[in-house]
Amino acid sequence: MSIFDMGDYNFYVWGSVFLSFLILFLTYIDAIKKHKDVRRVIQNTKDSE
Amino acid sequence: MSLKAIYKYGSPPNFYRFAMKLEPWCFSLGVFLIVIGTIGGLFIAPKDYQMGDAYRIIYFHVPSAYLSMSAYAAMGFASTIGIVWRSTVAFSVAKSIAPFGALITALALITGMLWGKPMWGTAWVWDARLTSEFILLLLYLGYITLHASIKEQKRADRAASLVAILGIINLPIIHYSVVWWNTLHQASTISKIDAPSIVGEMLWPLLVMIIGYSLFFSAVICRGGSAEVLMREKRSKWVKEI
Amino acid sequence: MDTYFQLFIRETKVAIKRWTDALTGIILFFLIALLFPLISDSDKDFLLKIVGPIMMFSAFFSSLLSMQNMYKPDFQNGTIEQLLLSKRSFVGLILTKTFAYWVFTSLPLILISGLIASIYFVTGKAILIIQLTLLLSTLTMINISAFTSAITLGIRYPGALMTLIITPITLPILIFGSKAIENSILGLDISGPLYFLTGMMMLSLFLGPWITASALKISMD
Repeated sequence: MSIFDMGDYNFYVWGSVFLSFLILFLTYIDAIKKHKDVRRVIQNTKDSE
Repeated sequence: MSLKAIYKYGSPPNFYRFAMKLEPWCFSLGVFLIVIGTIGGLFIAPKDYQMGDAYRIIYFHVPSAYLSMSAYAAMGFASTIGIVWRSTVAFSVAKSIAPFGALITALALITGMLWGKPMWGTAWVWDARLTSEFILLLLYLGYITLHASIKEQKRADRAASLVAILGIINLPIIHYSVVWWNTLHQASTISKIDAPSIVGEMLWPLLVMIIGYSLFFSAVICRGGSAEVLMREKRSKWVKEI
Repeated sequence: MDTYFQLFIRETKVAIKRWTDALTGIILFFLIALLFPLISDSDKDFLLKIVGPIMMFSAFFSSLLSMQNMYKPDFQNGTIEQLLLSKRSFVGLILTKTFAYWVFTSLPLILISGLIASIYFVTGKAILIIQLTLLLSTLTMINISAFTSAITLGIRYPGALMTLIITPITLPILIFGSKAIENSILGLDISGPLYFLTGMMMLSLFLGPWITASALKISMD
């Protein structure tokens, strides 16, 4: 038996695993992106002065 | 907590430095624990003799459900500090919690549905916990939309914080009333199904997952919150020196 | 006391001038209650079963529609600012204003709810219980609406946002209100839900004006 085979409920288990990781990944990417954007805005104002 | 301490440790530059130092630790430890918990939960923990392998969804459902509520509590707490002491840092933290909290609440609902479909045969039951989770999502969405629709930053912060505080006051009342409504409407249906009492070798991955999720959450808040702080302090001197 | 009374008189005059607001609420309340038997089933037992939720829902819905005009005109013409500058406590003035608004929008609903209840074949004491429930719950709802309309003052199209904020907070009142009505029709004990509604009403009367006042102050500056 393969370890990726969860019997009849394969879809539900792996679906929830996939979704959880997707959402965690997205939130972290979003936070990093926000941070980068703000840094860039600050850099721009510094350069223009 | 004296006012002085709040001004000292809650000042934007101090918070920024602290958060940026804390963030890599929280992130790496959180990811490490989530990986451990995933492996433990999916492969090491024994099969449940009643529910088979499908119970493994619980390792992803319970941490998100737990986090959805504690994130709202944290948001309400930060909002209260922000309203009382007019703290920029507290407002930033509260604002950065909101989208994460809404997403994690949605995740808890979706994994709950994926749990319900094989276990109860239906994706949605009008169960007290499900309903209050859904209302929690509405509260998060209210905060986010209100904050987004007020243009001026300071006013948006304070108005949205007021809504968050009202939600914190109301959440126990909502939960209690939903439980009461539920017990009267369907006393003996599937809503009585509870998570079976878990034994040691099934429990440890769950605890690891919860701690891992919380650390990951802290890392996201450190990143998002410090970005918000920078945004609000754009014109100040310390930001330009970074 | 004088200032409060003057404010009440002023609100009365405004309400008379803008009588369509109150009328819209009444018409909406009436229409929602009338529509349900027409589009679903006019069976007596069925109607007695759904009268509680429908009463609460239509009261909630008509308050939702009418509250958009609660502070907006006064905010635009500067009345709120005048109240803020008054020597009297701002919270007390807000309470007066909210109460006046309740008298002109919710009190008529309570009065005609007896008529609607008899359309739904409710008889006897249950009609009075329905009116009592509506009295308690509209007093709570009006405070929540006051807060919501105060917090969304600066927004141009606040309709959907108001609904999003107000629904979770009002939900307990809707649940317990319809439960009280249902219990009174079935002849069961109604003291539990009514105590809850009374408690919520007290809480909202004490806390509501205060939170609304701070929300208005936030929206002003």
